[in-house]
Order: sequence, then structure tokens, then C-alpha cells
Amino acid sequence: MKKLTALFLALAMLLSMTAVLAEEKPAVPDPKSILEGVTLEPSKALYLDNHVEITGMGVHFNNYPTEFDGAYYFPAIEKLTNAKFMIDWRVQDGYETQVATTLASGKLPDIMTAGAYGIINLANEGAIIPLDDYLHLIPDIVEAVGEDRMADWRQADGHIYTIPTIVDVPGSQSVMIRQDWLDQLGMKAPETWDEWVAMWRAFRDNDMNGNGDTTDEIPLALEMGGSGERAMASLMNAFGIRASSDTQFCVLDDGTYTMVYEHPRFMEFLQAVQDLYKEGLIDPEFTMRKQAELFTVMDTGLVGSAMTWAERARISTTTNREAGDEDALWTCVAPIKGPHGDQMTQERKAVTPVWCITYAAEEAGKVEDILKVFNWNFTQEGLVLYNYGIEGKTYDVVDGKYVIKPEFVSNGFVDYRATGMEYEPFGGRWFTDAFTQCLFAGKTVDQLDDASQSFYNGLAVVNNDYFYSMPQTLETEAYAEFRGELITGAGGVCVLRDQCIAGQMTVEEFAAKYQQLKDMGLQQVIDQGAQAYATIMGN
Amino acid sequence: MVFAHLFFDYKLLRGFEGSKYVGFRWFERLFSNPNLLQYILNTLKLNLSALIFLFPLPMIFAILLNELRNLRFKKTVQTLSYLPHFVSTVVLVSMIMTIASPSLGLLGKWARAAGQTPINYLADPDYFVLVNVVSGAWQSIGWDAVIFMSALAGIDQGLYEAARIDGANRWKQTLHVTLPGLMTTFVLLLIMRVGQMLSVNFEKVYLLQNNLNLSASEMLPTFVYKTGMESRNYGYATAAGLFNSVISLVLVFAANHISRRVTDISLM
Amino acid sequence: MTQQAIKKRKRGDFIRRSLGEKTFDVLNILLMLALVCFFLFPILNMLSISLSNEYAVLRGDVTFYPMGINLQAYEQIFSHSTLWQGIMNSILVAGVGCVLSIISLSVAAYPLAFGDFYGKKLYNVLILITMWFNGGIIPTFLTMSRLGLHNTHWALIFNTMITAYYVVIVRSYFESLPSSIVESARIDGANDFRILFQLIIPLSKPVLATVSLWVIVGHWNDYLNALLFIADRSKYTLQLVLKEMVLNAESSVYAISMSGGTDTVGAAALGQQVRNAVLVVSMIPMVILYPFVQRYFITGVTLGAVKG
Repeated sequence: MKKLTALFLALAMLLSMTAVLAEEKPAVPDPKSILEGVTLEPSKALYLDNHVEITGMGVHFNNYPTEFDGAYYFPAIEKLTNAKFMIDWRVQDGYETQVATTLASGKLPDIMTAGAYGIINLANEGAIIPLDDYLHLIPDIVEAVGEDRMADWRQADGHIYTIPTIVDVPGSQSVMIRQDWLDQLGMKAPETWDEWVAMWRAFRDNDMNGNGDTTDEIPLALEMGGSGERAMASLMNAFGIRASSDTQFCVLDDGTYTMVYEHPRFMEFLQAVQDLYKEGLIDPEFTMRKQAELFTVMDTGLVGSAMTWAERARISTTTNREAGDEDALWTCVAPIKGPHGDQMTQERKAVTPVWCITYAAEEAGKVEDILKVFNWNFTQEGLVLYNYGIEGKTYDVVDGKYVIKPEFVSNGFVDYRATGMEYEPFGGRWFTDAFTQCLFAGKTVDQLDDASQSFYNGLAVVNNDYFYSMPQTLETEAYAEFRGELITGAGGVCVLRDQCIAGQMTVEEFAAKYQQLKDMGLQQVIDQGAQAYATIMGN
Repeated sequence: MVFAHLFFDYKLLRGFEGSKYVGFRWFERLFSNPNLLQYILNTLKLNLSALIFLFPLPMIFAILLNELRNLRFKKTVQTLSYLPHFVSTVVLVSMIMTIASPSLGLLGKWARAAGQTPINYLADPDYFVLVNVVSGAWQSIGWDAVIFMSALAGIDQGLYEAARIDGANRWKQTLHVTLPGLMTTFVLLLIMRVGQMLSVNFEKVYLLQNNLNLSASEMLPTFVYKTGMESRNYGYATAAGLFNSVISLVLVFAANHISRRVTDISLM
Repeated sequence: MTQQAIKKRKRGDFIRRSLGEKTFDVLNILLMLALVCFFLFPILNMLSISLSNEYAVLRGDVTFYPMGINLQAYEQIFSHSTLWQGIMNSILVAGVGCVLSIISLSVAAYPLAFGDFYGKKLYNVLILITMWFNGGIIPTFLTMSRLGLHNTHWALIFNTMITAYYVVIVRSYFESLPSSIVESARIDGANDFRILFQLIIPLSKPVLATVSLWVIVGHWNDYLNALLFIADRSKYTLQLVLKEMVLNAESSVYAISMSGGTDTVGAAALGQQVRNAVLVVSMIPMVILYPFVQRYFITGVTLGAVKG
């Protein structure tokens, strides 16, 4: 009997396999078909004499096609420049382990992204080469980065190691509130810190989602980021701390680069957030709330306010409505204003280091060719391919302008990216124009529905006055040596911070422990960071 | 060869030739780490609690299962008890996180339905041991009972017959026939478990960690893994790992010795 | 125990069952039922979520039975080619690993059970010690790399090929076989290999079947080693693919710049179901395999002590 069941299960598995193979394709054009019937002439700007194969290893994002043989982007590059990219894409999770195993195997690809392994660590291993002497081969990239953004391109040791990706779009994330909950309470969007706290209290005390339970609302949901470090970004900003992306470093008003814990307002921030936690106003799961879970609690109607991708305002509104909450509306608002009137939010990093060239490529004599191809990617021809795809297939030229075909933008960025356009894991330069076309999906602001308008506001309106340029996390020697033990590991300062917020210790205890950590090596991290900052800023 | 990393600032790509000799630096750093004691205590706490609860439970389960009279029911129960073992650690952790989440999980839902504040199990260091034990019990009771079921089947039925003739009831039979029959298996398994104490559970604990439970969940093996793989300090990690192994070995020889003295059963 | 003997014992029990024993029986059955619930509910919850309507899942209404059947999640994951590749790789590793393990475990256990040679005790201890004393993750990883096994499935197979615990189990079973059969075979002129492969192994089916299942489940569920040793996506085992699909539902946007947008509408709602469906699928092959080995389970595993 049991064996029969087992056989039945096996059969069911096989059947489901075939059933899927016969499944119909969705309405959006198949990425694989984009290049069908298209002849691409060799590029005039660059066509390599030899067919160069460039192997690579990098972090991939889910919203882009993995089977890139099928997407248009890499085959097109090959036809245009005679260079073939063969990249082994990995997920971010555990990527540093993958890098370590690759290093230990001794067989490096030609290009790789460092991910959490750290560019400096790769350099220290001797795995990658500095590009300072090659800048003349990549003039278009140098120009695209621009003089005033050079600091973001350099590493802590002052060298340039990477081919960057550039995004010429200011915003990305926004604070958002359930407008319908505010309306229900007869409240207005908060403007002062006291009003924010009052709103959170109201969210906490009332059965906002109307499920008969007054205790399941999360007034302010927080997303942890990679290892719990990002959750506090929005609240730190409210206390005037201009934090880096991982919220460990900041630049003070006088221009000094240091750890956030040195900021004059840090302890005040910590006390305030601890109080919020105690009162039940912030997400009790802030150290576990991954992005996917944040989206789930928002979609489930448990969250009153959050800071995340502005696009989420549109998506969650739609999902809430489909799930039966017809009045649901997420509104993007200006950043949280702190008790001292501080109001700011992180500007999207325009220049992000991506590809490192390995010593293996150097030994194989491929460095020049690789750099030329990357540079081509930043020429007009490469940029059009990156931003708009293939003429006649994904875009048309109308009055000298590139117009993406409606079927690729009707769903915002989703289908645009799924087709392989703006292939961010690989990188290039993303134009504001292409970005806006996706955002508006072929419409004007007035034509947008309320959910999409909300999204637009979050990206391009409400935050505009509040952006600050985010300092990078400089991976100095001391940082590399002590990061695990003194910052992110158990007993590390970032962990202590969260434990303090959750009331596992008082602010005074935190301060005392922080002093100990400084003596154990954090002071070195701070000092070397300040020094490195001065170097990359060109002082 | 394996332990040579101990004395180097080891670089993966360069191998020993390209790495710097640092002598006993990693040991010095390990023993001057103020949190070392806490890691050791956490390791012991997590594993001792697992040992105390998860070790006898499968045996008790096996004995009770064996007492069931309806064979079909007995077989069904046994089969179902194995199922959790087919769930891998990765999956298990994902299930724990879902079920224990106060906002989305079943436990939170039930707590609120009963008018209570849901417990944030994974964010509270006090509950970490409990989470570890309960999930361990779920996963291993049925599977670990196999070896005891085998031992039970191996007990001479004549002994029960004799006991019954002497007028022993089932409780007495269990006490005087079943338990002695399981003794060897029990003791040998125990010795082995004591030795493995520091190394089991690694994956689950590692995946369940978050900033708020680290004070209870960081143990030597996870510390080793993070230092080595995440912070790329291979020498340091090897030193900490060696320390872990030495403790294990001491524990197992002690257990073996005690067992030989007390029960005359030993593994080596 | 023969069928007859069972019947006889039952009848005998029936006559002598006291009130206390009856109470015990009832309580025991209730306890077992409670345990079955404990074992089964999380799995049922998982199964139900994977099969339910996405909005029922979102509202958190799903408990132990599906609400409004929706198979979309399964369609979605079965169209993932990596899942199938992962399953095939895992089957390969588990299959080859199991065969090699069984052979090497038998060869290792045979002299421990039947051999009579100088230093046997030390040999025994040396095998046992590996259970508790090893270089640890990092040196193992570095050694495997230096051996050139990195990024091959062999790294996974060799790493757990001979486990001391299984050696002990197999040895104990061998010891429980009458040693006279070995002696008489020797007298007939059979050498050790013939005795092992033609006599002992066929007689040891129960223990070898049990250990096989253990080895296979071990390989099937192994995540850490796979993460350490396998670099190529095409060589990913099931657990790596699962981890990618399950715990990594979030897009890795922080790594590079901070650009917007991750999910399509509805895909977010489906996320939980997909996650659970993946878990269900990962269990199926083991559940299929299990009934074929089950009958050996009761008799297969024994532990024997070294006297002294």
C-alpha cells in the first residue's frame, strides 16, 4: 500500500513536470524573442579583432533574467563588439563564501564582483588589479563618473579597482503611511516628531485594519537589511545622523568621517528608539524583518508606516485592495522629522563599484580588451542598448527620442527589467529618461491612478529637499580585521545597539561597552576610516 | 597540514608560500576575547539542554510505542514520527521563523486569540534554548527512536514470559526487563552524544541567529564559522575550531571512563 | 516474533489486564495521538499554505487544511529549471555517495568485527576519535581545495563517506552474526573479501539498508558542505537551490546601488505559497524512498560495546 502511494507520488511529480512544460507563456514578449530577425552590424566604436571570451562571477538580482543567453543583452554585445561575456551568476546570500571557495580553488574568472567579501579583501589577496594606470582606456567611464563623484569610485586605500554602475536617478526609497488609516482617525500626515509619535500611538491603540484585534498593528515596520544593520536608517536620519548605507559610519557637520556611535546625537537617538520599542511603536521583529517579510506584513494590512522602496506604495496599495481592503492607500511622505527638526534621507548612491578585473585576466593578457568593452558599454551605443534595448523591438525613435514600447513599461519596472533592460547586476549607466518612462508607463502624472501617483511622489517629489550624499563604508585594514568581532558579530557594536533598543541593556551600559570595544580596536577603525576618507576626498 | 593554518595569516589565493607567519597570535587573540567564556557557556547550554531533553525522549517514545497493542496504529505512528526528519535544516529554520513570528505566525495568532501578547521567541535570548529543544524534538524523536526500537526487538521474549510468570505487571516488566535490555544502547549512544555535543546543531543555530538573540545563540562553532568564512580570518578560525575539538575529546573520554567505572559498558 | 506468538501473547494479556493497565493503554494512545499531531501539524500547515488561495494566505487564515485550492505556486516552481537540476544533482550525490559509503563502511567494519590482529583496539579508537575530533570547517575546506576536489560533487561524497558512527553500527551488526559462519567459510578456503561480499553483506541487509537511508537523507539534507564546496550553479544541489528560493525571496538590491522595485503585484502574495511548495517538493523524494527501506528499520540497528 505504501509503495503504491510512493509510486503515485513519483508519477504525480513527473506529470506536474510535463504539465508545466505545456504551460502557456504570459502576454509580455518573451525575452528570448527580442533578437529574432534582428541583424546587428558590428559597432563602429569598437569591434575587437579577436573573439574575446570574458568569464565572470557576480551577484544576481531576482528581477532580472538569469538565463541571459535568452535575454537580448549579452548576445547583442557579442554581435556588436565581438566580445562574449560568460558570467556565472550567484545569489547574494552566502556569496562571500562562494568567493572564498573560488579563491581557494585558485581558478579565478576574468572579472568578478566582490559582494560582501569586500573589494579591499580581494585586493589584499592579490586577486584583483588596481585600475589607476588604465584610466586612459576607459575615458567614457571616467567622464560618466565625473569629478565630483570620484570619491565614491575609490576604495579606502585610495585606489580605483572597479568598473562602476551609475544611476542618474535621485530617489528610490521613501517613508510611507497608510493614508486610509490616517483618514479613519481624522489625522493629518505628521510633520513634527511629536505628531509622528502621536500617529504611531494611534495606530497602536486602534484596530486600524478592522480585523477585531487591536494588538496586531505595527505602527512603524522596519526592514533589517543584510545582517540587521539597516533597520535604523530612517530613525537615525531623523536625529540628524548622516549615516552610510549600512548605518555604521557617518559624516559629522564639520566634515569628519567617523562611526555613527561617535555622533553627538547618537545616544539621544538610542534612548528615543528604546522608548519607542518599549511603547510598542516600532516593529518588534526589526532584527528579523527581511525585505520579503516586510512586504508580506504590508500586504497583510498589519503595517501603518514604513520606509522602503517607493514602488512598494503602489504594489501594496493594489494588493491590499485586491485582498478586500478597498480603501487602502499608501502615501509616500517626506522623511520623519526628529525632535530637533532634523529631516533628511539617503540619496541613492549614483556611482557603485561593481566589476573587479582579476589577476587571471592580467595573466591571460585580456585586461585591455575587457576595459575597452566596458568602456564601450558607456558610449552612446552601449548606453542605448542598456537603457532602451533593441530598436524596433523594445523601443522606437520618435522625434529623435528613444521611446520604450508600451508593453515593456505598462507594469512599471517589472517587465522592463524582466526583459533584460537596465541589466543592473551587470551595470552601466541608467538614464533618468528611461527611468521616467517606466515610472509613468506611457502616461502623464495626472493620468496616473492614486497608487501610482503615490509611487511617483515618493520617488520624485516629497523627498527632494531632504537628500544627503551618503558616505561609503570604507574598508580599511582595521575595518577588515575587526568587522566580525567588534561590529557585526556577537558582542559587536551593531548587535549591542539592537540589544539596547530592545531593552536588553540601558543606554549607559551600551555606552560603557562601546568604550570597551573602542579600546579593543574600534578606535583604530575610526582613525583609519577618517584618514581614508581624507585620501579619497583628495585632501 | 590541516592545522598549519594556525600559525599563518592565511591567504586563500596565495597559499602558505604567500602568507605571513604569525606564531601564536591567533591563540592569544582567542583567549583574550572577552566573549569567549560566553560562547563556551552558550555552547554548553544549548547542547546540554538538547542532550538532557532530546536524548531520553526517543527512548521513552520507543518504549511507549512498543506498548501499543494495535500493530497497525503502532506502525502508523512510527511512520509519521519519521516525517519531520526528512525536513532539512534550511527548511526547518524557515518553518520555525514562519510559525514563531509574532506578526505572521500561528503562535502569535493563537496568543492574540487567547488575549495575550504574543511572545517574540526568536528575538528573546531567554527563549532560544526552548526553540532549539522543541524544534530538535520535533525533528529527531521519531528518527532517533529507531535504534531503540531495534534494541527492543532484540530483547529475548523469554525474559518477559519469565517475568510474567513471576507475577510482574507491565510497569515491572518495563522496569526489570525492558530498561536493562536497552542499557547498552543507551549508554553507548550517550557517550557518543557527549562527544558530539559541541558540534551538532551548528547549522540550525547559525541560521536562527539574529542580533537580538545572539547573546544566547552565539556558540563556538558559529563563531568559528563567521570568523573564518565571513571575516576571512582562517588562522583565527582554525585556532578556535581546534579549541572546540579539544573540549569535545576531553568530554568523550571522561564520559567513556565514567561509564566504564559505573556500568562496565564502554565504547573504546 | 511470529504471528502466532503475537496472538498468543495478546490473548494472554487480555485475561490479565488490570484497571491500571487499561488506564495506561488509553493514556498511551492519547499521548501517541498528541505526538502525531505535534509531528504532523507543521507539515500540514506547510502543505495547506502551498495549496491555498493567495488572499486566504495573506489574511493568515490558513491553518491545517487548504482554503480555496490554488496550484499556481507549484506551477511556478516546477517551471524553474534550477529546481530540477538541483534534484538531479542531489540524487546523483546521494546515490553514488550511498553506494561508496556502504562499501567502505563494510570494509572498515569487517576487521573490527571478525579480525584478530595486533593493535585492533587502537585502530578502533582511531576510527572513533574522528567522531569528535576533526580540523573543523575551515581546514576541511582548505584541504579539499588543495586536493583539487573543490567545486566537484566528490567533495560532498568523500567528506561524509565514512562516518565513525555508522562504522560502529555496522560493526555491531556484524558482531551479532554467528562467528561460526565466518570460521566455516575460512575452513572452506574463502578469503576475507569473498566472505565479506558474498556472505556477510547479504546477511546484513537490514543494517545496510538502514544505514543507506541515513546516508541518503544526510546527503539530501546537507546544506553547509554544499555551500562550502560547490561553486558552479550547474552543480548546485537541491538544498542550495532551496535556500536560494526559500530564504532568499528578497531581491539582493542592497548589494549594488539602491534602485527601486522588486516584485510584481500578486507575486508578493504568492511568495509564501511558493516558499512552502518548495519545501513540500523537497520532501517528496524522501517520502517516496522511505517505504522501501522501512521494513528493515526495526531489526537493522544495534549498538554493541567493546568489553573491557
